[in-house]
Amino acid sequence: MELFAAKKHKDGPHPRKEPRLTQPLTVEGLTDVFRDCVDFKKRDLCVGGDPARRLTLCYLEGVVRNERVSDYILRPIAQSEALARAGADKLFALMRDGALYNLTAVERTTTDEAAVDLVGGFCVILFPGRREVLSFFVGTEEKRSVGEPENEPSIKGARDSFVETVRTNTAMVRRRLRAPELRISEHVVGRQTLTPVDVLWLEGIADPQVVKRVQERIAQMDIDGIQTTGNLEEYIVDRLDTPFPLISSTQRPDRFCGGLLQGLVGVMCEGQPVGWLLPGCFGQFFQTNQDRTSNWMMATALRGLRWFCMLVTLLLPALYVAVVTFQPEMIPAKLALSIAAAKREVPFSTVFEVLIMLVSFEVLQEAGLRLPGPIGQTVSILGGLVVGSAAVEARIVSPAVLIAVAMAGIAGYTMPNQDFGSALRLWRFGLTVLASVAGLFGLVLGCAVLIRHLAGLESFGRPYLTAPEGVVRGPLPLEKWRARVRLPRNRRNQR
Amino acid sequence: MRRVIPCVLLVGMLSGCGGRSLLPYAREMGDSALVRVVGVDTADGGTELTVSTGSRQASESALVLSARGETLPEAALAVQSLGDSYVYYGYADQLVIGEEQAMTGLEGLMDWLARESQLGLGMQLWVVREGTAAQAVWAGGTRGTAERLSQLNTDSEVGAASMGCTAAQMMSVLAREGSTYLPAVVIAQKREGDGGEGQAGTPLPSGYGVIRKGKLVCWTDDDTARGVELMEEQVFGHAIHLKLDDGAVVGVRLEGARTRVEPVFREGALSGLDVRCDVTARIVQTQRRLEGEDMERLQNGLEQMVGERMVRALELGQYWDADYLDLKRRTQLARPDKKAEIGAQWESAYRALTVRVDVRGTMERSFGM
Repeated sequence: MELFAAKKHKDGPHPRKEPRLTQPLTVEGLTDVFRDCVDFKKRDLCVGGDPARRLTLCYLEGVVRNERVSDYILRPIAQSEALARAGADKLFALMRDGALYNLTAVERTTTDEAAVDLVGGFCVILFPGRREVLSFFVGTEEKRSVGEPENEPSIKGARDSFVETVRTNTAMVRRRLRAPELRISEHVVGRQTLTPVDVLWLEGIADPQVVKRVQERIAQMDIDGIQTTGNLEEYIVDRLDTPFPLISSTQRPDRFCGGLLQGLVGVMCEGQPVGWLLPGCFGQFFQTNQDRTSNWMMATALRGLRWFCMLVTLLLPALYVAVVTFQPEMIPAKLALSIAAAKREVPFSTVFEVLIMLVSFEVLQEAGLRLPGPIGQTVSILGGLVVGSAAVEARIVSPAVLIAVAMAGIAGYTMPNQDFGSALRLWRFGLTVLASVAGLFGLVLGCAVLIRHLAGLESFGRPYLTAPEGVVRGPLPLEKWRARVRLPRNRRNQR
Repeated sequence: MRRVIPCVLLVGMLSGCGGRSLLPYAREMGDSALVRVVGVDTADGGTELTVSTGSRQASESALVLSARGETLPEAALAVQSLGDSYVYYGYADQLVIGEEQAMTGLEGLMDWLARESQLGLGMQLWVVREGTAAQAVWAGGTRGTAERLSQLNTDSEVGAASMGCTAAQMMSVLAREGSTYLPAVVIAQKREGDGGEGQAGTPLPSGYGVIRKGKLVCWTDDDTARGVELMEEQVFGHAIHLKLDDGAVVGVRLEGARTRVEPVFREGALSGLDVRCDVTARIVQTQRRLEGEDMERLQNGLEQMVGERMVRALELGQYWDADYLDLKRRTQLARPDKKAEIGAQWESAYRALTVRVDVRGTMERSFGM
């Protein structure tokens, strides 16, 4: 842990330069800042058409929307009689206080701020002989429209999903949680990307200690930039020496809001069409949004099935190796005869067979993911059916191994969270190797190590090995309390 | 880590694995011959072991291996040296004992079963009447004997074969009472004209062999065997026929029996046994409509037949001084206040006990009769 903690030292070997830009906040200074930038534009404006009263407008082409600049900035400056009559100080005050038709007008005094505004879709107006400048938001706001969540499909329920724009995402949350107690704080992360990262929570429900801890960790992030979801996750979780996800992510606004209602803290990031809910816990990764849209008995059965599938995907290959190689008397006689007959023609040991098939399964999955959709499906079908059956017919693997590995693989896909499923797949290899060394004894030992590992994990001060809602999803009218383990400030969630 | 390593070592030492390697020994199933049936015979003062695997593939016949040795472990080692695979006994669930071996004694065999790690005490036991275990094992042919013996065990539940007995059951009863009974099979010779002249047929149920002090002492005939099953209340599905005065034959199926044994004391001494059996039967075939008098006659006939069978089973035990029906324990359970007296007097009194059997039959008509 100390190894990873060293990376979080503030301004250690990689000090942050403050201020970032040393140029003065002038036209020449901004021109120098954006030198060799073809998209940097500046234009002189005459207030009220008077050539003696000049202002300079700076913006980045493509980042701003031309119509907005023309209609809301240029037109009032050129045509407003009030501006034409005002003196220098009065002109600045009028433009800052609403003479220009813009919702966002801010006064900037440093080159850093002005440069960041330009990159963020603002245009900057510089006044001759004045230290302060005015920034007006005229960004293009080009974004992907809200679509369906591809990774978390819903049979009965909302079909919208988060997009890459954080403000759109927070708006979607606001539309679902209209309580004024919804708090959203913003942090800028990344020296080069300057990415807005928002923390969302419901005041009066979420534990303020967790909120504070999340904000501190985000504030401590001093990296070049956030490009992928991992950039954020790995910097804010408690531990990195585990394959298990310590925070959960979702594309679905309804699930995200459900988490906030349960007392979790949400995190959103510009450029990432997901929201994170934390702290995470083991049982959380068996829950889906459908649990609350279907009948409680059906939801309980399906949740139980997911727990069972977790055991199948984790243990089945290892159990097969242990039983067939070390404890064959556990197998029913007729099945044992069938396995023995099939194994007689196979030249490889059982563990080698299982490992070959497990690796092949991973290769097929990886190939299917990297290829375009239709080709990926073809590869999966070819690999799964043709190569699998050919391998069995050629006596390279026995049918029982193929069935065991395929069942384990398919069972893994029932996990609602792919990161959690991947962690199980990784441990599956380790348990299989242990089972091949010491049979059931090795398997039990591996399971003990796994449980010890999980029991040692924490997510934002909360024990990871908990299932706040358990396997049983009770009738919603009876679910009157938020999970105690999350320490919500108000546990009661209904009358 | 300083705590984890000692824990792992401790768990390793507690695993029960020892010897040359701390870890259990791996063996590929494809390299093993999975034994389903074990046959034990005496041979030249030693032991002959005959084992049969199950039918491994449709195109592959069961493997039968046979070897001799002074002791059972030696014979097992000799069997191991015969095949092209490792002979694995973990799936052996049928143990066939030759008549001569059963008459010689079963203690050595049971001791081997109890100590051999691959063999279990859950094996079903069979005694071969007028034959050897090797004959029974070889009789299975390409499919092996295991399926046939398993089927016999299943058939016993519907009254079509003798009641099964596991090694554990036999050992516990022998240790407690010194006598018990084992299901017997006989190797049927195929009759002329059925296409298999001269070949050994399949094992058929043939009553029970009575074991006294670990040795086979006698066989039961058919009626006695049915009497044994009546005493054990295992009669569901037994089919019998009764004759009416006019010669009409009526098919009857026994539905159930409830048997109680109570001791009779005279002047403080154990003098007899009162056996009370309530048997229920159902008419399943008749040649004519049955009237009230017919039903009464059928009921009397049923009670007489059941009574005779039970008496034969009880008298067989007294004749051989073998309490193979566990009567001592049953009487003690019936009269717990006399448990000590029964225990003290049983050995001397058992053969001379006066046995009175009282059968009460209930005859039921099937639909439409």
